[in-house]
Amino acid sequence: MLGYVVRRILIMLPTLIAISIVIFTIINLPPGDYFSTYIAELQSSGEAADLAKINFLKAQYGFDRPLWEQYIFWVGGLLHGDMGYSFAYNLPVNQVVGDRLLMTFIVSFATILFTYIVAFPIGVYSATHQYSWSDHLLTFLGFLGLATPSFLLALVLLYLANVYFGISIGGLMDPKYVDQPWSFSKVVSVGAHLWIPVVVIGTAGTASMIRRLRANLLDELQKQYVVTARAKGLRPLKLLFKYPLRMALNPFISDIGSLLPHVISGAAIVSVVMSLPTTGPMLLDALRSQDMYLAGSFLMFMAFLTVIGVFVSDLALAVLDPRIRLQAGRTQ
Amino acid sequence: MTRHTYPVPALFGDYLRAAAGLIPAVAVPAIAPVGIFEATLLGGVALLFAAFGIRTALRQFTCIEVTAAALRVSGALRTKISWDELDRMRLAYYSTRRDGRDGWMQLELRSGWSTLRVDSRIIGFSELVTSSAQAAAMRGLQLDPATSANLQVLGIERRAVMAPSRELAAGGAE
Repeated sequence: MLGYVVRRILIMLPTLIAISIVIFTIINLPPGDYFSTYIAELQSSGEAADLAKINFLKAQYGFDRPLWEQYIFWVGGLLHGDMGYSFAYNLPVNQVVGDRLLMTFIVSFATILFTYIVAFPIGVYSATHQYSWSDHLLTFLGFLGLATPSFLLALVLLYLANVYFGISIGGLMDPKYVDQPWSFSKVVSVGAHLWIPVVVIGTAGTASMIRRLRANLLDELQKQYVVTARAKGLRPLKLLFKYPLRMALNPFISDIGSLLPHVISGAAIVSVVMSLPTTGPMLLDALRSQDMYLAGSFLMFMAFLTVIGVFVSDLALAVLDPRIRLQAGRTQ
Repeated sequence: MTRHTYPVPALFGDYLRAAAGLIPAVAVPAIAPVGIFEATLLGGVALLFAAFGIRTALRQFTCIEVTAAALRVSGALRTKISWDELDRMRLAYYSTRRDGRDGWMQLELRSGWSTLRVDSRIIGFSELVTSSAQAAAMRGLQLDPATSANLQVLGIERRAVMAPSRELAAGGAE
């Protein structure tokens, strides 16, 4: 196992280096930089730009140097925990991200819990009651959930709540708490608003997980060892939990890889539609305004979490089910 | 009696891996100051790769002797597992590739407090697995689904259960 961990870590390093190069290149692909866009905006509105300050920032963050030097400067900062400076917010990136990170964590963890709590029993029920009317109904609802884009569901809910109940369900709390420090009433307000984004963001993932769990469990239930155990008179529930369900859980474990970055990024488009103060809309703004350090460092942070997540899920799979699994039917 | 050792060329890659992880993990904080989070992360990585390097060195000087009665490990980490006291056998397969190819196997044997882990680069690995599977069959040990599946892929389980070697049968009867 130690050998496996070491090999996996050694694969992660070049992966992260490659991702950092791709992120840096893509962010620098559009012509100009944040400052040229900023100066152009000021000139178009007839205002004068503080060129001295802009030149100082350009020199400090190496915008006047070749691209490869800028890349080294950026990566060196990341290695030392410095994510750079957000020119749009006039704050270090750590501070800009930190303000929204808590809200993103709350929404994302609630969504993940919702997905698992709803998908798990429904998936098991659907598989163990295959082709019953309830299985057909749940399958229909699952496909409906898969086919509906989350932002569309958000728009429909916003419209219905406004037209029929006369309330606004956007945001994560009542407007009066937005800039207030945390208090019990603010927590209650967040709790009251939370279920809507959770249902909106979690529906597609829940439907997808139900389908996968059902399919995997059906595969396992038809295997010979299950038939043998049934023939030996093992109780159905004990039989279900002993092996088939454990084997069918592999996709849940594999999903850990995508969970970590999801927790941080939030659902960007749904957050924009529902005015959620999460990191998704912030990333979109940063990309639009070429706020290089904010966008690049945040994307790199998400990439790091993705790589760590895949590493954790691979490790969990290696511990739980270290079978030979060769694709294309080849064995060695 | 059979003797099993790790061939040095097979361990060369592991020494390189240990160095490839250890050198940058030590060099980065040595070149420039790092934050507490980065220092903890790099320190953990350095410890892990150092442990891997030490284990590789220990493996280079390890020799496993398999007899009808027991399995003896000589070298820095001496241990002995009697076949008639075998408590657990696990055969795992690991691969870092998505398609599952180019992987390696690890055999884990446990008897009381003694545990032995051997990977498939050791000379005569399949004989070692066959002997272990025969001993596990004679002891009536329950193998986990992954071990059973891996044994089946190697074509060992059926042979082991149906025709335990005369040598091992004699040892098990002692």
